[in-house]
Amino acid sequence: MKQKWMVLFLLALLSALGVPAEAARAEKKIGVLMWSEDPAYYETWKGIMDQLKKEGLVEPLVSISLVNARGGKAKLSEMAHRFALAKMDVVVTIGTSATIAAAREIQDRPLVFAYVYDPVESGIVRKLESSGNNTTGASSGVSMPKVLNYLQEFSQVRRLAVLYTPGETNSELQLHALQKALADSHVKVVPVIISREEEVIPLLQVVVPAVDAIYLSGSRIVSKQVSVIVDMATKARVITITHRDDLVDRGVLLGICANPYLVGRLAGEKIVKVLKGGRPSSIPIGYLSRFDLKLNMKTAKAGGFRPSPSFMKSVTKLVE
Amino acid sequence: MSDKKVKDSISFRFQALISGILLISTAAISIMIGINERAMLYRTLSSKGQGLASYIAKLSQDPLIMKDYVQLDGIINEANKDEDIIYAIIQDPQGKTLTSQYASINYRLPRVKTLLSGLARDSELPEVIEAIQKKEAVFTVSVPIMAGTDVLGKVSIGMSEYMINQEIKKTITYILALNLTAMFTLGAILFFAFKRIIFNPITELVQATSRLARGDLTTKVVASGGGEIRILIDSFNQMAENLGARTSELLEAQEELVRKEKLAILGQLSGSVGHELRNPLGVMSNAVYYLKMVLSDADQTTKEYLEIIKQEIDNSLRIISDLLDFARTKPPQRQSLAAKELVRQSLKRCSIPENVIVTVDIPEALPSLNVDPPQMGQVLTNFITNAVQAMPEGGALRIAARFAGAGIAPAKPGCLEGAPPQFFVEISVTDTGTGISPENREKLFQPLFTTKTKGIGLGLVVCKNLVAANGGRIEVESEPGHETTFTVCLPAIEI
Repeated sequence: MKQKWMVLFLLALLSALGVPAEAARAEKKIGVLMWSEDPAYYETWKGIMDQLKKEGLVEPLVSISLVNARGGKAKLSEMAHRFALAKMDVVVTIGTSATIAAAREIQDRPLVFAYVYDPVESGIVRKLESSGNNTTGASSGVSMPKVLNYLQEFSQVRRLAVLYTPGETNSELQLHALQKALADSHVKVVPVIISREEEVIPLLQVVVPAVDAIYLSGSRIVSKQVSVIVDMATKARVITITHRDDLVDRGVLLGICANPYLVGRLAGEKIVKVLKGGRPSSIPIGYLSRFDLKLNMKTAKAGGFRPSPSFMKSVTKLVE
Repeated sequence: MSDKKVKDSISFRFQALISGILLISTAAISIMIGINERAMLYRTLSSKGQGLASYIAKLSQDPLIMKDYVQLDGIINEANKDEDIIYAIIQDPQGKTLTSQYASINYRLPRVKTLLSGLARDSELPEVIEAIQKKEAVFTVSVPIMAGTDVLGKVSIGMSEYMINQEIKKTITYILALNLTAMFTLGAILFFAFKRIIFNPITELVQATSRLARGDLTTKVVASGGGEIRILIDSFNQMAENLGARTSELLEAQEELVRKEKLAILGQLSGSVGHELRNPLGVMSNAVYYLKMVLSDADQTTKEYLEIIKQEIDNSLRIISDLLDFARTKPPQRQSLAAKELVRQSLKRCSIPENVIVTVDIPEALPSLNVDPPQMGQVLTNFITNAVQAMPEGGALRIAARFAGAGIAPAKPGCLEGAPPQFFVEISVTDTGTGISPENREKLFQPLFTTKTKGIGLGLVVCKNLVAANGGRIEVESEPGHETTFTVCLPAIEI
């Protein structure tokens, strides 16, 4: 009680002497910008928070403003602009779209991104070792050739549909990566553009019978409609595969995933470094060293898929 | 009513005609509107396709230069949200398609799935487009993608005519529905209006004609109607009435003819029988006269019997005389005769009992009659005798005469109606006897009808014939139990 009165007294004294109130506060302002309500993003955010807590960066030392654009690009720009005006000590972005929007608005403050699939191809950083600008962060990228190796090991696939959403950078980059990886193989990539939720069913009605496997890219619409997509594909014994950890939990058959929580922890480390005075350009972009090979057994049973024993040995996580 | 009759009826034909005209006009209107709407929608669709293709061509310049095919997919995918577009592709100058199948084809249209049924699962985009073009009316709008003077590629948009056809179908359905409703309403109104105005009266006329043809002469049409239909109904009713009147006249004439024929036969028979009997009776009369003369001192009984024979011979002679009069009416020898004189002579010929009081009321200034005196004397005598016989207990016998004015002479066979008028004098004989019952009055002038014990029923028939031969007529008025008046109306000399 005594201490509290002492603090109040000191604050009153500082005000009387004309010292600005902001200078009296030692806390750091962290603005967090999330692209959508994707569960993976919240998982990432959980990782970030845990890492900050581990480093002792909790209130009142830090003040955190978390905003979510809920998939709206205009809203995203407006929120990024508001963070720019608020002169945050660090702006944290979760998701590629959020990162691109924030990077456009904020160049004079550190920006730490998390769960960005390919920061270089997205144009956020110049190199992985050094961003060359005010950004650093942790990527959720996985190696597409590795993904395809696992897929071929699971089953012989000739036609692979890639569900993507135009305008969502992550989603488009994943399509590009798959096209590049399969350019010289006998597997044909069939891009399936999905720009609205209501298009999912009519499109899949024609796509599912024409392909052997479906890749679910990091699209907000794909994420929302995952159960419908998996259901339609599984009924036709078509393999569903993704790099998104949470989508496997929600039904996708196969996943070669970067754990979003771990990506969040990695991003948390970068935030701590920045708050301690580190220059973002000198902090290299973080990647997870290990990926999970996840298999959704429920979907496997429903579709009558029988993975080989050798494949099962490689599986690191089974979703029951 | 049988099918054929229904088909032949005016109302059926009228209804069929109205329906036919309305159907043909509906079909013609639908076709014209369909053609016009199609042309208009086609122009709109074509111009829409052109505008859209130009816009896509502009947007596609940079991605094409950058070879960003995912972005090209995004652009044409947006264009494919229009339901008039069934596909949109971007090709390089060599004709290679740069856009992907699921971005290029408008799979949002539910019918696309049906159009592509049967296609191999790994069909490439050109095959898919070809399959669509085979099954649906599509026209392609192409616009080059230019960068300055360089051609980077081209945008081709497949505009489907499906929606145009759907719109036309919808329009035609509306028109048909509207017109059919109007047609049925108008048809029903016309049918009921014409049924009321024309068909009902005609049907009734047809039925009435049929009844008339079957011989029902009381047929009359009571249907309402105006104009020509009213005239037709009135004419029909007039015709039916005339037909009835003429028919009854004909029947009467026929009856008269039959009656006359019978009378002629009766006359012939009476003539020959009377002639044959008159001679023996004459001989018998002469014989009685002789016997009376030679037996002048015979006893009283013999004289009485002779008198009885004499009276019976006289009765027989009178009957024969009546028969002969009936058989042969002599042509009248007309001459001027005062009514008073005629009455006087007639009364003189009759024996009037004492209990009968005779009154004669004949004005002085009465025009003279133009008749055959003996024939009319016979008529009047007959009336007076009948009157006296009708009053066995006595009574009053009134004989009167009066000027009856001008009139038309009774029609005679061979004479036209409307002959020049002439003057008449009426002489009436009234008794205060028992009167004549209405049924007997009708038969008074029929041959062989009599209520007397000593008569053969030819007296009044002969009277009627004689009066008719003299250009007159007889009328009878009687009140049973009171009095009876026989009136003879006879032509007079012109004043």
